[in-house]
Amino acid sequence: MVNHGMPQTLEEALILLKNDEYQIIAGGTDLMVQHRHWAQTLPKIPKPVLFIHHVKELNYLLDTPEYLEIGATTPMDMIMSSPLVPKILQHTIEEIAAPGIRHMATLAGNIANASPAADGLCTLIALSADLVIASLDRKRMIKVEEVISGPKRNKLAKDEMIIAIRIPHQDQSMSEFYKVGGRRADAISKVSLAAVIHVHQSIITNWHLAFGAVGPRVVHDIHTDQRMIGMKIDDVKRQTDAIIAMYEPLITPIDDQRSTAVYRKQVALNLIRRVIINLH
Amino acid sequence: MNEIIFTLNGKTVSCPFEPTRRLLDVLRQDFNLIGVKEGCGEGECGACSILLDHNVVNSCILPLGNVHGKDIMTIEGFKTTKRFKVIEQAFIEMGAVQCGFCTPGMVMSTESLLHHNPHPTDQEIKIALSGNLCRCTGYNMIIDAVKKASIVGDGLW
Ligand SMILES: Cc1cc2nc3c(=O)[nH]c(=O)nc-3n(C[C@H](O)[C@H](O)[C@H](O)COP(=O)(O)OP(=O)(O)OC[C@H]3O[C@@H](n4cnc5c(N)ncnc54)[C@H](O)[C@@H]3O)c2cc1C
Ligand code: FES
Ligand code: FES
Repeated sequence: MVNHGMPQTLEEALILLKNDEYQIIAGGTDLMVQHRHWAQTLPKIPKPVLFIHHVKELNYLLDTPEYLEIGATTPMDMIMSSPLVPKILQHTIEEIAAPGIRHMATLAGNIANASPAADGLCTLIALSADLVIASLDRKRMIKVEEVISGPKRNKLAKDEMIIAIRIPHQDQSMSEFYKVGGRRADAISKVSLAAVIHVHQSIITNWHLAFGAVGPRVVHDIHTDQRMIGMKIDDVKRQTDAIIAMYEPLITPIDDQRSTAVYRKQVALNLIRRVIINLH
Repeated sequence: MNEIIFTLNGKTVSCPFEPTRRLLDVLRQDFNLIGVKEGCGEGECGACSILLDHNVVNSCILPLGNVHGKDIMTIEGFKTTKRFKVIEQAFIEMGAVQCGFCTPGMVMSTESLLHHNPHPTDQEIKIALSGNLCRCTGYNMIIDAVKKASIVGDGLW
């Protein structure tokens, strides 16, 4: 039987992943709940576990001229309090869970878990972030949204892991994250919207809307977003209803234990209106 | 590796290598630290809060593997400190304890807050306690108690 792995270095981790199939655990805040069993018994995790929490070389924030890079095991709390991090991402993490969770949870875990309601994932998609993925044999880069294949499914190969997240520097003075949930702390989003926006001399120069919990994946349509580039904000405000109508077909929520499809759709559309009202 | 070694309330301890075990169970079963409570068992109520390297975490969803080499403090260890006495007194005076089930977790969240931010605003206190549920007090008294502790204990953090 393969044993659980507790590598101290990235290389050790990648060697283990190459040789056997593992379930990676970073903070464990999703996995330990998903595989929860009775009190005083082990969680039912079907595979041996690779604990990457101790891989210190992946616990960092690094600023470069083109992008901010965040190592995969950096806890959310550290990301939230770093001045290097875009405000919209700080605000997003403030809306995730509570301090006890944020001290353990990672953004890489939030992405790999691939929940359509994941808040960090939503904002990183709006920020056009990339993932650095590694296996023993190769390293590759992929857009965050391209790693998600469906609800709770990602496209990482068995021997691969996320080693870092890269957020490109960009003008985004009017970015904001909106979350609608049941309670301030510890509430999974019913609907969320990450809006990454920049206005230069009253003209839209950057525009990305990513919606959480309104479809099988976080919703982000670059073609629709592109149509906003170059518009004057006065025109955007005048055409609010038409713009909402343009996004409407993308919003395809379902009923579940947290909310209903009808409510989610209406709130998502209202949030677009809010974004436009706040433009200046 | 056949053992997991960490510091528990100031002493080095070791456990058999069962890294997926919940730290909550290890603390309560192996070390009889029953001040660490289990409420929800899924990270939502904060009754199981402990300190890991001085940061509050939920021990019910913390795998033992992540604790290797770390410094763990439970309410039992914290009780011996001056800072605890100040927090305890403030909780008593402000009426922040009724049934007491949430209290160890509330105290650990308070310590985690004051360690990083000795003079928090009301809003910062609310955020710091946002992962701790209390079914009795209505929270106001707890917020007042944390505020009081930060004033009375000025200089301790
Ligand atoms: C009470 C509570 C409240 C919560 N509230 C929110 C909330 O408001 N918003 C929100 O978005 N989430 C929330 N969550 C969910 C969770 O905390 C986050 O998704 C968190 O970011 C997961 O990170 P982790 O490191 O703990 O992941 P883990 O549980 O360790 O892992 C999650 C998944 O990611 C994989 N993984 C982790 N790291 C890597 C890597 N480097 N490479 C490849 N795969 C990897 C794991 O294999 C697993 O499939 C909440 C959870 C709890 C318990
Ligand atoms: S028992 Fe751990 S958070 Fe509720
Ligand atoms: S005092 Fe009873 S739950 Fe808080």
